[in-house]
Amino acid sequence: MSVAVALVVETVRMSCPYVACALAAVVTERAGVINVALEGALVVSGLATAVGALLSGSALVGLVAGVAAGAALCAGHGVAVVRGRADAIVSSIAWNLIAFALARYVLRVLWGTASSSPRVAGFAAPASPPLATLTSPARLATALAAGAVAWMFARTRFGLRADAAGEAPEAARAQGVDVARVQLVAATVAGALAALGGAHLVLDQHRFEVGMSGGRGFLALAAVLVGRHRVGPTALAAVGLAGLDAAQIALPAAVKLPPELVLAVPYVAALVIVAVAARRQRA
Amino acid sequence: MTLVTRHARPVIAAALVLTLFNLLVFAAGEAPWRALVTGLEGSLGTAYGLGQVLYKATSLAIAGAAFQVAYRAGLFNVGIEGQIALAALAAGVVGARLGWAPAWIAVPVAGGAAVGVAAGWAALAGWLRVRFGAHEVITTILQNRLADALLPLALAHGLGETGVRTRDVAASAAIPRLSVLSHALAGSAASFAVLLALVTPWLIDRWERRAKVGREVGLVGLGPEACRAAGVPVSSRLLVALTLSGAVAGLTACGAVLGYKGHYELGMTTGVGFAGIAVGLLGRGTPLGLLAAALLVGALQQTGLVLNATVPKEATDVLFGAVILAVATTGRREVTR
Amino acid sequence: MRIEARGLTKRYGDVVALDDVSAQLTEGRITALLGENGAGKSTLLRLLAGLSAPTSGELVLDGVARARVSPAEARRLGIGVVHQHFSLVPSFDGLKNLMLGDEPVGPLGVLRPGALLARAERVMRDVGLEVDLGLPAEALSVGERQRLEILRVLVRGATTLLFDEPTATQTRAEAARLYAVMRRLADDGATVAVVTHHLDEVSAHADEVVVLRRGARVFAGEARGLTTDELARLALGAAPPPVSRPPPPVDAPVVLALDALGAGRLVDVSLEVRRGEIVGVAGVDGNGQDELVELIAGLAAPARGRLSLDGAPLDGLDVAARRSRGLGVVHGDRHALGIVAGASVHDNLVLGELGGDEAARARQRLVASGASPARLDVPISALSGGNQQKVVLARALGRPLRALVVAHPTRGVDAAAAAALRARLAEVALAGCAVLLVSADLAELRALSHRLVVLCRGRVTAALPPDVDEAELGRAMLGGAAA
Repeated sequence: MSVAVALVVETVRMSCPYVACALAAVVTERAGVINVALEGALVVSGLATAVGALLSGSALVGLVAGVAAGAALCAGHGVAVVRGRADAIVSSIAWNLIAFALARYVLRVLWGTASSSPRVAGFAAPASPPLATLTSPARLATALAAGAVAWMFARTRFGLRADAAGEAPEAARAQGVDVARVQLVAATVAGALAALGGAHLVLDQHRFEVGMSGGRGFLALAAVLVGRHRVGPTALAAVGLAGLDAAQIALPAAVKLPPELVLAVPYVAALVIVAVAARRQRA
Repeated sequence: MTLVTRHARPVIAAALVLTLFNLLVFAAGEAPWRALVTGLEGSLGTAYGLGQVLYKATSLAIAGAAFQVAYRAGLFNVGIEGQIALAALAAGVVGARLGWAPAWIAVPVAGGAAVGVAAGWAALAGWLRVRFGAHEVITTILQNRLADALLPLALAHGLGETGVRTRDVAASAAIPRLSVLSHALAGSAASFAVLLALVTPWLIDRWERRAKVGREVGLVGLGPEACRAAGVPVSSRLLVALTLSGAVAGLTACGAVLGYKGHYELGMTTGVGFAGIAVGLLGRGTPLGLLAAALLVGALQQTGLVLNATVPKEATDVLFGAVILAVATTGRREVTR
Repeated sequence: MRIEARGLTKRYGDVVALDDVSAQLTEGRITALLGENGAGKSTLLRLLAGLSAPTSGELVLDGVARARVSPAEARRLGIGVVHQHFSLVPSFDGLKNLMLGDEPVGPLGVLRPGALLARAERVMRDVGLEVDLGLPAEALSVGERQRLEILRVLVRGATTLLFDEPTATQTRAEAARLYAVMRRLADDGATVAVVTHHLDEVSAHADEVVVLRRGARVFAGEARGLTTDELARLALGAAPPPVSRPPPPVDAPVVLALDALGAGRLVDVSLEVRRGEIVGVAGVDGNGQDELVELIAGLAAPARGRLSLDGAPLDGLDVAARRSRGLGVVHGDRHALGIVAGASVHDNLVLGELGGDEAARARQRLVASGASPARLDVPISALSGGNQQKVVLARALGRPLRALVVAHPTRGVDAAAAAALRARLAEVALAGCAVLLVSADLAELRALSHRLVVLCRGRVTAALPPDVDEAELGRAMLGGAAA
C-alpha cells in the first residue's frame, strides 16, 4: 500500500473521535456551556464501552453503555455549571480529574491492572480491511450525527433555542425559553456525541487503555475555533486533525524522524491554529 | 436563601464526598469505615506518614500558589502540570552539572533553572494570549500534551542518563532532608523545601496587596476593560501574571528533584499540577487557606497510598474531583434578587 | 383589556421599590408611567406584566382579582412587553427573533415559519410598522429593533402593550413616530402603557399619566392640560436648580483638535475645542460616538487623520501618556469602562496611577468628587450609580487637565447627582479646560454646550448653536439636514 493510500485510510480511521468531540463542543458551546472535559468524556465512554462489551459479550451493548457514560459525565458538568453556578473551566477540570482517576480505579478493581483492559471483541467486520475501516457502526453514527447536528441548528426549535441560550440568555428568558433546561439538554447531548468517539476507539483497537484518548478531546477544541462553531467547517477541521494523526502513523515509516518528535507535531500545529484562529476572530 | 440552608450546603457537600469515598472503598471490596481509619492512621498517625504528608503538601502548596497568581488576573493556568514537569527536567539536568559548585551556588542555580524554564513555558501561553488573543485554557492544555511529547525526546537525545531519567544531581545541589532534624522522619521525603511552601504563598500575597504591579494584576482580573481604559498596561500585566504563575510552578520541582529523588525521571511529577489547581481553588485566596488546603489534599493522597494495596489510590483522585465540584458549586455567593 | 393595580407593594430585601401603588390602564388609551430613575416605574411595569410578583397588593384583570400572575398567564391574557434591553438575539434575523419562545413547529420540533411570516407581514401593513425580517437584529438601527419588538408582541396577539422606556435613546422625531404607532394601536382598542421620564412626551402624547416618586404614587389622572412644569414638580418634588453654562470663551486658543479623523464607522471627523469651551456632540446612539471617544482616549488607533492637544500630535501615545499630557476621559459605558466593580473606591479613584502619594491623592479626589458615603475602603459596587459616576469623573479630573472628553455623564444617574455632575463640568470649563461633551440627552447638551455638532453615521453632519430649534436638531441627528 502506498503512503498516500495509507494516509487516507488512517485519516478516516482516526477522524471519528475528533469529529465526535468537535461536534460535541459545537453543541455545548453554542448553547453557552463551555466544556473542556470532553477528553474526560472520551475516557469514561471508552471505559464503559469496554466494561459493557466485556460483561455482556456484545459490542452493541458496549456502544450503548459508552454513550450513556459520556452523556452522564457531561450532564454532571451541565448540572454543576447551570444549576450549581460553578465556573465552567473549574468544573471541567474536576470532571477530567474524575474521569481519569475513575478509569484507573475501575481497571484495577475489575482486572487488577491500571493500564489496559482485556481484549474487546468489537463489531464483526462486514468487509475486509481497508473497506472495513469505513463501515464501523460508531464511525457511521458519527457521520450521521454530523448531519443531524447541522440539521438541528438550522431547522429545529431546539437548535434555535440552544443558539439563543448561548448568545443572549436574558433575551431567551424574556421570551419564555427555559434557558437552564435547554443548556442541560445540550450539555448532555454533547456528552453522548463525544462518547461516540470514545466507544469507537475501544471497538476499533479492541481494548481500553487509559491514555488512548490521547488529547483528542482537547485538540478538537482547536477545530471548533477554526470552524467558528459552524458544523460543517468544524467537522472538516476535525478531519484535518485526524490527518495529522494519520501522518504520525504513516510518515515515520517513510521518513526517518524520531517518533517522539512526530508525536509533538499535532500539538504544535494545534497551538499555531489556535493562535491564528483567535487573531482572525479578534480582527 | 435562609441562614440554615446557606450553612447546610457545605455540610451536605462534605457528607456527599465522604459517602463517595466509602462507596469507592466498598466497591473495591473493603470495609468502608475501617479503611478510612487505617488510612488516616498510616498517614497522620506516624512520624514517617506525617513526613510524607508534609512532602506532598510542600509541592501542593507551591503549585496551588502558582494557580492563584494567574487566577487573580482572571487567567486559568491549566498548564501547571507541564510547567512542573519541564522544570523538574531542568532542575535534574542543571543540578547534575554543578559538581564544581558549593551548595550556596548549586541549589539556587538548579532551582533557578527550574523556575526559568517553567516561567518561559508559561510565558509562551501568555504571549499567545496577549498577542493573538488565544485562550490560555486551550493553549496551556495543549502545552501540557506537548511537554509530554517533548520530555522523552529530550531525555532520549542528550539530556538523559537513560531514556527515562537524568543523571543524579550533584550532592551540593541537593536540598537537605528534614530527617536531619529528627530520626523519626527517617526515610521520609520531606526536605527543607518545605520552607518554600511557607514563604512563597505569603510573598505572593504581599506582592498582590502592596506592589504596584501586583495590585494591578488583581485589578485587571476584576475589570480588564476598565483597567485598559484607565491606562493600566493590561497585556503586560496578563503576561506578568502567567509568567510568574509558571515561575512559581517551577519552584514546585525543587522539592521533588533537589529535595527528594536527586534526579528527574519520567512521570515523577504526574498529577501534582492538577492537584495543585484543586488546592489553589480550595485555598480561597489566602496564604493560610492555601497551606490548609495543601495539608488536607496531601493527607488525602497519603491516605490513598496507605490503602493502595487494597483500594486503588486513584479513589482519592476521584475524591479531589468531587471536592473541587463541591467547592465550585457552593462557593459562589448567592445573588439576592 | 382593562388592568387595575390595587395597592401594589414590592420590596427587595430592605428596599421598598414600590409602595402601595394603585393605578389603572384602560382600553383605547395611552397611559404614561412617569418618574425619575429609581422612582419605581419599571418595577410597576414588571408587576403589571407578571414578570415579578408583588410583595402585597393585587391586579384586577378583566374584572378578576389576582394576587399573582405568571408571565405565561399574562401572555395568554394578551399582555405584551416591549423591553428596553436584552430582548433580541443579536445574530438572529427578524424572523428567528419573532419565532423564539413561541415557535411554530411541525413533528420532531421542525420549524414551520410560513404562517407566522404571513401574519407578521399582515400586521406590518395594518399598523404601519416597517422592519426587514431578513436582517440580523445587530444590523438594525435602534428604531428598527424596537419596531421588531413591537411586531413580535403584536404577532403573538397582544392587546395590551407595555413599553419600558422606549424613547430613552431616541430622538424626538423617532419618538414621535413611535407614539404615532401607539396611537393607532390604541384607536384599534389596545391598552397601551409607556414608562418614560421625558416630561414633554407625556404632555404631548399620553391620555393619562401615573406619576411615581420614590416608589409612591403622587398623581394619577388625565394627562391633557398638564404642563411640563407641573409634571416636573410632581415627578421631582422641588425642581433642581438650572445649570448655568459658563460664559463663552473669547479669543481662546484651540486645545483639542481632530483633523479628518477616521476609523471603522467614523469618517473624516474634524473638530476643534477651545480653551474654556464646551462642545456638545449630539447624535442617536450608535452613530460613532463610542468610537470617537475611544480614538481620542487612545484605546483605538485611527486609520486616517490626526489628533492633537495644544498643537502637539497625540498619535501613537497610549492612554497613560495622553493623560500625562493633560487629557481626561470619561467613557459612556460606566460599568465596562469606567469602574472596576469588584475593587474599592480607593482603587477606582487612582486606577492606572497606583503608587507615589496615592493615598493622599485618593483622599483629595474623594473629597472633590462630592460622592457620599465618603469612605475609601468600601467596594465601589456598594455606591449608587450617581456616586460611582462622581468617582469616575473625579479620577479624570484628578490631574491638571487641558482637555476633558466626557460621554453620557448622567446616564442612569438620579436627578440630584446629575445636577451635581453637570455643575462640575461647567466649573471645569470655567477653569479653562476644553470640554467635549458626548450625550444623548438633548436638554443636557443644550444647557451646557457653547456649540453643538451632530454625529450621524460616523460623520459630523451639522454644526449648530445650542439654542437651535429642537425639531431641527432632531432632523440633523437623523441625517435629514446635512449642513
